[in-house]
Amino acid sequence: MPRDAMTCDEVAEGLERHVDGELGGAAAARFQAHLEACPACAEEYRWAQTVRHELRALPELDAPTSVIQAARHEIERERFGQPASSRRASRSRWAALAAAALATAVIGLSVWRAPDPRPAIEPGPAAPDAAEIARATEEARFALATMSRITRRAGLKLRDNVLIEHVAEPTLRGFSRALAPFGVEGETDPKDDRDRSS
Amino acid sequence: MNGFEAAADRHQRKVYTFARYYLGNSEEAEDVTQEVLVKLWQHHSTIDAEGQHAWIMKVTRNACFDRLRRRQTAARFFTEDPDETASARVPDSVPGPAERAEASDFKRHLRSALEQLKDPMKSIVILREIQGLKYDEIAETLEVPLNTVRVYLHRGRQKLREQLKEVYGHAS
Repeated sequence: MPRDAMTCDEVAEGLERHVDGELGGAAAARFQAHLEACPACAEEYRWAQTVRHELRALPELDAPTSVIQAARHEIERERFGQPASSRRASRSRWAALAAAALATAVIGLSVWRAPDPRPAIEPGPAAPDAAEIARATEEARFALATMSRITRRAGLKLRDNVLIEHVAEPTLRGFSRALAPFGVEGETDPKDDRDRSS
Repeated sequence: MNGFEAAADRHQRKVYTFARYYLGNSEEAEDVTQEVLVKLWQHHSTIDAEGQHAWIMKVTRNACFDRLRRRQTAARFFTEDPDETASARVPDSVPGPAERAEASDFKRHLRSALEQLKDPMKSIVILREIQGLKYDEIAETLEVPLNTVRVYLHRGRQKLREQLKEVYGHAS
């Protein structure tokens, strides 16, 4: 091997620079000589060229026109002093409400037990063990993840007021009322407060 | 609002392109694009024309980084949904040019590997290889030295190469 031949380690070190054509004349020549003599480094060099080529072939992308429209609406709302109601804000608000509704439902169902046909051995329910709590937590998390995914999709298709006023808020109020006998406090409907005070 | 339309038209492609490849899904990329365009409008009077491009890409990259961090935080509270892969959180109803162009398996793996790169390698690879920025433009955008751009670009490509070799084993 010639005395000035490159080693495989030196080739690995300078591989990406050679792909970019940044090695000077003499160094590039030595590099090329090594590639011609070393199949492993030649393979690595082909890989490096392929990655660079394929990256450069990835297209630039245009945002959907709905994004530009949503940005314009958000700017107009800010200019006229109205609260922002962008797709972003509505989607995250809806996701938060739906997740809260589902979490309430999961907690409510777990405490709302059907009558146990077996005779009670001791007064009061047994405290849940760690395995039961872990299982319940896992189920609740999976439900929340599923609901989060569904709400993101729904947020793209449905109007804010339909989701929030006609589905999420009534659902939350219903769960709050269902859980009240068990001492679980939820958000109350201002209308309920007004009814109670009259 | 004519000024907004012109600015949006001028910048939406570079913002969306970066966000789409950085975050790996169109939904979050659209959110980031909207956020950045609104910020551009809010600050347009304070940004000088020469620095506008670097400003926009800086804001875009920061918005993507924040979104990724929030996603990682949320992941601690949500179970992994096996249907949700890193590159397809919400399925696009109509395949866009990206989806058609990435029909090949290799491109899909490349995009997935790119999304998994750590910053600043990921930002630099996107800005240089996909968006064609020069080293000095990237250095100005990310506020790092020129040599750092070169080093991280090469490391980023090397990481991608290693990932793809694990999948394919030989160059295509």
